[in-house]
Amino acid sequence: MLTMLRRCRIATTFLLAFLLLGLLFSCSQERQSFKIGCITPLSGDYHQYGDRVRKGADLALEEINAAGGVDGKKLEMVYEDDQLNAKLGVNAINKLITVDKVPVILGAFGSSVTLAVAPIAEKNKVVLITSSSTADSIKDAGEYIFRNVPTNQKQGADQAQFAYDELGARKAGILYINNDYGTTLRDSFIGKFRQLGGEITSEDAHNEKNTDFRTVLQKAAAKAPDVWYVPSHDHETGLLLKQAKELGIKIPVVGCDGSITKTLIEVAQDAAEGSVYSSFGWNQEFEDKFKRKYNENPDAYAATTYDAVYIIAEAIRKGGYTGPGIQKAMLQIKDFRGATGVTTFDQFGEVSKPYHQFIVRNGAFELYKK
Amino acid sequence: VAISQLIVNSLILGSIYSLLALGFTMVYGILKLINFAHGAVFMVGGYAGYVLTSNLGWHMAWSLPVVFVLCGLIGIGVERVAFRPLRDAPMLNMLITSIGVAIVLQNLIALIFGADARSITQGGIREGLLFFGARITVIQIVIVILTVGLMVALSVFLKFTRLGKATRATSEDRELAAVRGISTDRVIAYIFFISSAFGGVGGFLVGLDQTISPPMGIGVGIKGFVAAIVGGIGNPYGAMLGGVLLGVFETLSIWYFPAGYKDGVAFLLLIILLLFIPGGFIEGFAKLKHLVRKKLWSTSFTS
Repeated sequence: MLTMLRRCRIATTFLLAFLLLGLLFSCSQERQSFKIGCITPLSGDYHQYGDRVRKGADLALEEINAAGGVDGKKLEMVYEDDQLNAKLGVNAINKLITVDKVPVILGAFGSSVTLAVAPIAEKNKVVLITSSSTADSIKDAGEYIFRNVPTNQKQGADQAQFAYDELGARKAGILYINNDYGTTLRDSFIGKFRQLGGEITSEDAHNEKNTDFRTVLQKAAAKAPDVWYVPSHDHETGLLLKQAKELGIKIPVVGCDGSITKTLIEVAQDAAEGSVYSSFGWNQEFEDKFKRKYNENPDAYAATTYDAVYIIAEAIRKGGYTGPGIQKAMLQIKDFRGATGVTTFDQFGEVSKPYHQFIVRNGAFELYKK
Repeated sequence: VAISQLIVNSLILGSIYSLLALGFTMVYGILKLINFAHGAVFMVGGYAGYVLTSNLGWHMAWSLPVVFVLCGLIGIGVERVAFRPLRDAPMLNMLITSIGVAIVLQNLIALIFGADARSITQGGIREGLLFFGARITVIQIVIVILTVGLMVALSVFLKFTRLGKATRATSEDRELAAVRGISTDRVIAYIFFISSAFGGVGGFLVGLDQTISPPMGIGVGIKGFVAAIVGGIGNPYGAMLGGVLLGVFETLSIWYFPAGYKDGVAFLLLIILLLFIPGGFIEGFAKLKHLVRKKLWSTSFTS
């Protein structure tokens, strides 16, 4: 009996000691940095996109931290790889919320992944800001979901206007990638082009990672359109351009922001010359900084991500390091000046920014001028 | 667009599928193993060709035989390291190992070369040659001719050489072949050499025609496997037929149906086909021959 009591006492003492130690430890371990999550493709077929996101984000983080961080604390990015796959994206956001306990997440990259992880962010009151997903339905994904890029609704319509006015096209064929991104762009392009009085000659889908476009190209070319609208990813668009040239098809191609990467040029080579893509512009200051750090040209994704990190820093500064705090601060952000122009969120967490056209000349993307 | 273009498109697609199907079917024939590492060897072939042509500046004609031998040796290595120790284990173990080998190879390549898609094509992209109203590039002509050539060579090898006969004997009954003094280990190594060499050359050719990337073997690998099944797995001639047939089905389904349903339509046709001849093409042919013979025999008897 006595031994039992003694054992109990010893056990309790140890327990108390541990608890005290733990308390001390946690006090001394006061937060040194603010963690931000980031979900983006870092491996797999679409890793080139994540590479741009990461370069843009790292540049912004470096500058913010060099300037003293946020409220004297450094910002730290926790990257999670989704391979542009919704299932992996859900795993990534669960890990970021439960293990890293971040109140704000940058991402996801692709619209289909963003739509998959948005409900989880919303439920846990974690702010999700994407710098690249353009599917229209993200607008209604929730109060905690933001983006600093305009929707596909606008992008597709702008390209339709461009094709109709600038290229003088009256008949357009569509070759779209069969996912949220491709179908929303397809619909908005068709809507605007028809409204302008143009005619849609064909709508043909291809799947992600498709590599053979020969038959579908010939099928669509047989309808003799003035222009092709190709809302697709860079690798797919590149192969499509290459095979069109090999087949002797000379229909001009108008594409979207998902195709503006160096992968497109690598794959299509000279077959890409003269094709036009819609994306955002960025200022010279950002371009210079990016070139100095990475010794290569930036692209739209690097620029929008760079801005998104600055917006997150601003929101933490104003609203504190909590999900609801950041969410409120985000909505109050007015006329934020960044690399891609002025950002103001509306009540849906959306922005309105103009799209610009970029044309491929001598193996590089240039701002389109008539 | 002429019908000739559709035929050309089918042939290009079908050639690649056939090359891969051959690899699947030969290994299956002898080990009853579905070798999922085959798609990865295909991809390694693409990268080997990339190093030879883009990094070392070799001409395609010299690179091809080197890729052939190199991938063949990789095949032998994979068999020696990953499959031989498991020869007598349950089939499922080997199957899992083959998936493991595929993942290792794919990640190894991604580690060395990065995950970006790369292009082997040099000197810009040229318009294809006009050939009976169909456009075809030089590389695509090489693909079709080389595939046919390799298949003829394989048929001759299997039919007329000692080693070919030993191969057929081993795939019919491994133990009996061993009893008759055939070194089955050596035969199996040769089979892996041939199947991997064919796969590697396929990867290089696809790389020249399209692009290379670490996951490039997955999708095509599945198609090649399906082609092998349709042909009647275990039979090289069936694999050739199956590959071409899959190419034809895909091309036709793009042409006549909405292009997005390409794989769905092609696979549906294949499922229907397999419902009627479950053993694949070769078994179907055998049955047909048997039926015709019986019919002829019975008519001649009664008349």
